[in-house]
Amino acid sequence: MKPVDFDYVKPSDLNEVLQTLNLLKDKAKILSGGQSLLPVLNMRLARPEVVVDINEVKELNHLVVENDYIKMGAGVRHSFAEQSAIMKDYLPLLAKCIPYIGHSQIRNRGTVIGSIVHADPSAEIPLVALILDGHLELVSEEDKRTVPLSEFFYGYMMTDLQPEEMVTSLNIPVRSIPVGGSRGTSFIEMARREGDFALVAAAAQLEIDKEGFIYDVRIGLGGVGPAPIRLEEVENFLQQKEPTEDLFIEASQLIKNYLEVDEDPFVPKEYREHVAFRFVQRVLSEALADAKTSYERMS
Amino acid sequence: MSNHKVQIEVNGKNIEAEVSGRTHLADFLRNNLNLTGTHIGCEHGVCGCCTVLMDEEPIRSCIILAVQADGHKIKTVEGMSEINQETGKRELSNIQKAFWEGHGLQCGFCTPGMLLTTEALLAENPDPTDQEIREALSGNICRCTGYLQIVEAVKLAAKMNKNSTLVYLPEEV
Repeated sequence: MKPVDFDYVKPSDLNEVLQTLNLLKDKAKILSGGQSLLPVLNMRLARPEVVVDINEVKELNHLVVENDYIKMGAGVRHSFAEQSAIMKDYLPLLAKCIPYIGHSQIRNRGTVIGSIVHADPSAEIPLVALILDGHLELVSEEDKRTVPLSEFFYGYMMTDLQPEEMVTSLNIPVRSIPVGGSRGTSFIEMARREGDFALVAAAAQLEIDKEGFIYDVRIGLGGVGPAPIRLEEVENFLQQKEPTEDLFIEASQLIKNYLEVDEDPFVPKEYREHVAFRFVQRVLSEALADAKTSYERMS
Repeated sequence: MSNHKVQIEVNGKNIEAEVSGRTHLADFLRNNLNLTGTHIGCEHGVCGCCTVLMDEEPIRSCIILAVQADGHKIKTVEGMSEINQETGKRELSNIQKAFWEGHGLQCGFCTPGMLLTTEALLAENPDPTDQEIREALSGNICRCTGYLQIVEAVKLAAKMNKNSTLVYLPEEV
């Protein structure tokens, strides 16, 4: 349970990181929070020749509102994001999911972007960033591109990230609450023990207009496939309707048509499906309740 | 392959050492500094036994490289005891006394991690509820106690921190 021998480098600027990646490609691994990489190294599931520590690259520590986007650098740790006022004001859903990530010891080190590039299908951040229309800035020595989360995940721990690239920023658009209306969010998760990987996770954000109809809805599930999924059929079905419990039950039926849950030696497929189905309904009603509370708080 | 000079403040003492890149902090503390109070259980960040404080925050020392602690402050269970101002003698901290008094351990393997997680919890929240204690300790697995006495010990420690006359002193150690 010790990592294989590797060279450790700690560049202090981004160019140096990118040069190293371009030179070494697959042989290098980026180390930021290390809460997924170190276990993988300890178990020797990864055997990089060089570990590139980016903790000294200060330009990656930003968490700012800029041009209607919340921008988070690769150095932003879960615990920092959790306590940030920007997060609570602009991205309450992301703030809500963070306490579900591992334990305090993990959140003190682990990073938001690290969770995305690790791409565990049951992870919280990828699910929430996906349904909030987040996109990633991918940078290499020669190129720079932007990839929406909806196109980033290929499957179980597989992403569009190329060996010479790194993710420098996660950008999530700021949405204003409809005039005279309100917004509610909810995140729920089922795990065997607190802090364990989720068997099923669900996230929803609901915006209600001043007439009380659904103005915008985003909902997604994690843990039920090789990557987090956004339930677009459910979203389309709910659009412009009056939110009621019966409507949410009806909406949750829709996922039966296309949910493809993987077999798992520990959890029966039927169980995961059942939880997913119940969670769709529950996460919507909790988001609605939250919208009502925040409406009352404002008026 | 690569060796690195590091400067780490461990339990208030400035340590200069050379470590290989692959050495994780728990191994460094145990093997290089002989601080074997930090226990290694699962060695992949699940059990919490290796919890230490880095700059006052609890972290898992088995999933951070020793070289990453360069320039930081580390506190292990060995650094918890305090000098009693009146007697001048070194004594267990309130948290340690409370775990002793409240039987917050059986085999003791998870205890160093429990103690340090508790220290960070009480520093942030001096009067936690049962639920908050359980949440804070959820990253530390204990296979003996069933956690009841651990939660009681944390509550006792909180009480002792607030009321200095409430002192449970173990017999001479």
